[in-house]
Amino acid sequence: MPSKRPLPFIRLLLAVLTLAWGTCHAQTSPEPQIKAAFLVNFLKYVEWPEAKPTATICLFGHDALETYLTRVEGRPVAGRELRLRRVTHPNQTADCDVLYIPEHEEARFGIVLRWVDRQATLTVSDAEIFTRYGGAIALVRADGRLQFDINAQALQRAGLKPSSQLMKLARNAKDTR
Amino acid sequence: MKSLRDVSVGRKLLMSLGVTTGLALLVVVLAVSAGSLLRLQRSAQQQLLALADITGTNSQAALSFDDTRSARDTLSPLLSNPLVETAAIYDRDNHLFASIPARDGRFVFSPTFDADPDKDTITLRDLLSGRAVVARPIVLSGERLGTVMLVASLAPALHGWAADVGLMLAAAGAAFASALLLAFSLRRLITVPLEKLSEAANAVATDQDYSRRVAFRSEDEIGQLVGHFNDMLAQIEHRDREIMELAFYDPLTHLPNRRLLLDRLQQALAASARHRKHGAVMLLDLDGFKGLNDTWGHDVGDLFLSVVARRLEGCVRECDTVARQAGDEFVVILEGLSESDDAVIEAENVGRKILQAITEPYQLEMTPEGVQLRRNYQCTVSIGITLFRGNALSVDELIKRADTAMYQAKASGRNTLRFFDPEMQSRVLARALLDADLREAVRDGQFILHYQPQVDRAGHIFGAEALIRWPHPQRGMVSPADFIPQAEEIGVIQEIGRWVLESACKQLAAWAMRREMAHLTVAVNVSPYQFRNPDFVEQVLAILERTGAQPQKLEFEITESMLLGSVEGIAEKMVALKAKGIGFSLDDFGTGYSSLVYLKRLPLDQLKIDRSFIKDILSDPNDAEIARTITALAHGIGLEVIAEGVETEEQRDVLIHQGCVAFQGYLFGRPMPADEFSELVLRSQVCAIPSAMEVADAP
Repeated sequence: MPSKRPLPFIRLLLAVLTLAWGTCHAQTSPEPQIKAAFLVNFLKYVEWPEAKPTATICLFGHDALETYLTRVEGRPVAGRELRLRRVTHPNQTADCDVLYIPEHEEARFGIVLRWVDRQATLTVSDAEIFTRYGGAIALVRADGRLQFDINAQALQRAGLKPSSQLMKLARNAKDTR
Repeated sequence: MKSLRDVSVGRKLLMSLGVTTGLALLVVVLAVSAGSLLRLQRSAQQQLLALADITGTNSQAALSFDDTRSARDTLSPLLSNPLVETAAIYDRDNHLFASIPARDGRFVFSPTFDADPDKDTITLRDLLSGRAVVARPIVLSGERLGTVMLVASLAPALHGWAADVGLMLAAAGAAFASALLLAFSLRRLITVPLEKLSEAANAVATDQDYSRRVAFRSEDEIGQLVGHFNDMLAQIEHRDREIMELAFYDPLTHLPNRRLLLDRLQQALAASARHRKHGAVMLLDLDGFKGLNDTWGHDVGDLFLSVVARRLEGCVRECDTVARQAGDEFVVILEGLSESDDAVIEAENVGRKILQAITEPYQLEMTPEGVQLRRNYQCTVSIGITLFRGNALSVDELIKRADTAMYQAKASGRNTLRFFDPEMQSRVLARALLDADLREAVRDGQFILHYQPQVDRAGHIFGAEALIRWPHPQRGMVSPADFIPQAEEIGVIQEIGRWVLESACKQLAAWAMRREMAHLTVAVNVSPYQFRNPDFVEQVLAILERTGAQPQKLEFEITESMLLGSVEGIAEKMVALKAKGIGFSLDDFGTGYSSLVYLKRLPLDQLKIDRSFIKDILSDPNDAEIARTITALAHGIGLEVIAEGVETEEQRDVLIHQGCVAFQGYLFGRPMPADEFSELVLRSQVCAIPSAMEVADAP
C-alpha cells in the first residue's frame, strides 16, 4: 500500500499510469479468448458425478476460441488435465465433459443436444437462445461484457452440480433476483 | 530538611505501605491493560483474517468470470462489521478488481497491488495508529485467483480500551486511597505502644521513678520490647533498693545505720520544734560484748547482736528509731514525749524496759558446718540518755551528750542508765529513792490510817473516811498524792490497798465493841488497780471474815476514772460486794467524764460532791447550781449525797438548804488518828446524846 513509498508525487504518478494500463488491458482482450477462459472456468465451478483425471472439452463446428483453448491444452484445471477434441459425430461425445456449440450452428442445436442427453456433459453455446433449446449454459454479451445464462434444469438432467457462486453469477439468476 | 531516617515510624509505615500499594496497583493496571490490548489485537486480527478468507472464497467465481459487480456485492456486507473500514479485491495480475467505498471516504486503494499478498498479522503499531490492513490470497484448487484486502479501523476499539484503562486507573486510585486510609488507622497498632514506651522511658528519666511500669500486653516484638523494658526497670529498682539498703541500713541487724540515724534525729529535732514535745536520745553500749566475740567467735557475736536488735525494737513504739551506731553501740530515738518534765520519767521507763529486756538470758543457737551449737549467755547494757525539746542542740551535740551519760553509766557499775543533765539525773535518783522507800514502807508497815469525820445535818458524827498517811522517818509525812501514783506504777498499790482495807476493818471491829461507837461507818478509797484484781472480791471477804467487821458499816469510795475501762467486770464485782452489805460511794462526782449511764447501771448508794464545787458555792452561782443539781439528781434516783471539803458554816447552810444531808470537811474535823477520832466522837455524844440515837437510825 502507499505507506512505504518515498514521495507522494511519484506514488500518485504511478497510480495514474497503472490505472490507465489496467483499464486498457481489460478492454482489449479478444472476445474468443474470453469465451475460452469461461469454458475453462466452468470446469472449476461445476461438479461432475464421476471424478476423472482428465477434463475433456469438445468443440462442435468451428470457432475462433479453439485457438485459445489449444494454448491451454494439457494444463491442469481444477486438478484435472485438460483435453481438447473436435466432434462431428454422436459416437465421439461419450466422454465429453464440456460440449461447445457455436452460435452459427444454431440449426443443429437440437440434434447435437440429443447426442449428450442424460449424459454428464455441460453443454455451452454463445447463442443467447441456447438455453431454450435445452442447453445448459448460454454465453451472452450484456452491459458491455460477457456474461452467461444457466439452465439449471438442463444441468440437473445431466447430473451436474453447479457451485452456488456460479449460480449467483448467472445473468438470468441475477435478473430473477 | 529531614532525612528519611528521622521521619516518625508512623509516617514511615504509611510511606512504605503507600509505595508498595501504589507500585502493586500500577503493575496490575499495566499488566491488565497490556493484556487487554494484546487480546484486542489478536481478536481484531482473527476477525479480520476470517472475514478476508470468507470474502476471498466467496469472490472466487466472480474473479474467475471477471464479474466485478458480483465481487462488489460480496464485499459490501463487510461494512456491516464495525471493524471493517473498507475492502478490495485484486485479480491475479494484481490489478484492482473490485472495491467498496471506505466508510469515512478517506481511504483510496491503489490500482495495483503492491503490498505483501499475505499480510495476515496486525502489529501493535498498526493497532496504535488506529488502522490496520490485512491481505489474503484467493486460491482455488491451488491456483491463485487474486488477493482480498481488508482495511480495519481500530480506533473505536482502541477508544474502548482506553476507557477501560481509565476506569481501571480510577479504581486503582480509589483502592490506593482506601489502603492509605486503612493504613493510617492501622498504624496506631504499632505507633501507640511505641509512644507509650517512649513516654514511660522519658518519665522514668525525668522523675527517676523506677517503680513505673509500661502497661501494654502483646506477643509481638513490641510486646517483647515492653517486657524487656519493664524487666530493666525492675532490675534498676531492685539495685536501687539494694544500694539504699547498703547506704542506710546495717546489713547485720537490718537496723538503720549511723547515716540514717543522723537523718532521723535531724527530723525528730524539727518535729520537736514544731510540736514543742520532748524527745530523747539514748545511747546503748553492751557490757562485755568484746568478751563474747573473743570466746565464741564472730558468728555467735553477730547472732547475738541481731537478737539484741530485735529485743530493742520490741521495747519502743513504732514511731521511735532504733539504730546501730557501731559495733555493740546502739542508739534509740524517742519522739513525742510529754511537753512537761514527765518526759524524763517516760524516757526513764523506756530505758528501764530496755535494761530488763537486754538482761533476759540469751539462748544462741546456730549450726555451723552442720553441728548444732547452743550457747547460753547473759548480758547487761549501759544506757546514756539525753532529752531534747526543739532544735536548739545539734545532732552531734546530742549524741555526744548521750555518749557522756553512757560513760557515766559504765563508770557507776554498768547495767544502769544515766541522764546527761544532772538535774534530770537527780530527779531520776529521787524517784528511785522513793521507790526503794515505798517498798521498804510496805515491807515494814510504815503507813498509818487517819479518819475524817462525816456528820449529818445536826452535826452528829455517823462515820469517817479512812485516809492513808505515810510518816517517813526522814521525809516526814508524805502526801498520798506524791506516793500513790508511784505505788500504782511499781505495783505495790495492791499490798497498800490490802493493808488499808484490813486496817479500816480492824478499826470497825474495834468500834463495834464499844456501844458509843458501834454505829460508825468507814469509807475506804479503792484504787482501780485493786478493783481490777480478779481476786478482789475474795480478798475483801477474807479480810471481813478475819477482822470480824460488819460489811454493812463498810463503804468503798470509787472514782469515775475506774469506770473508764470495761464497766461490766466492775459492776459484777460491785454487785457481789453489795450483796454482802458493802456500800458504794462515787467520789469526786462532777469532775470526771460523768456519765449518767453509770448511775443507772452501777449499784451505787451515794454521790460525793467534789470539794471544788463546795469551795466557791457562796460566790459562784454556777457552782451552787451544780451542787444543787447533783443533790436533786441523787435524790431523784434514790441516792444519798455527801458534800466534802465543807469548811464554813455558811457553806454547810447552803448545802442543807439544797437538801444535802451528809457533810465532811475541816468544819467538822481534819483527818486524825483513830484514838483522836474516838475521843471526838465520845465528846460530841456527851454534848448531844439524843442526836446520837437519831444518827444511829439514819442510814
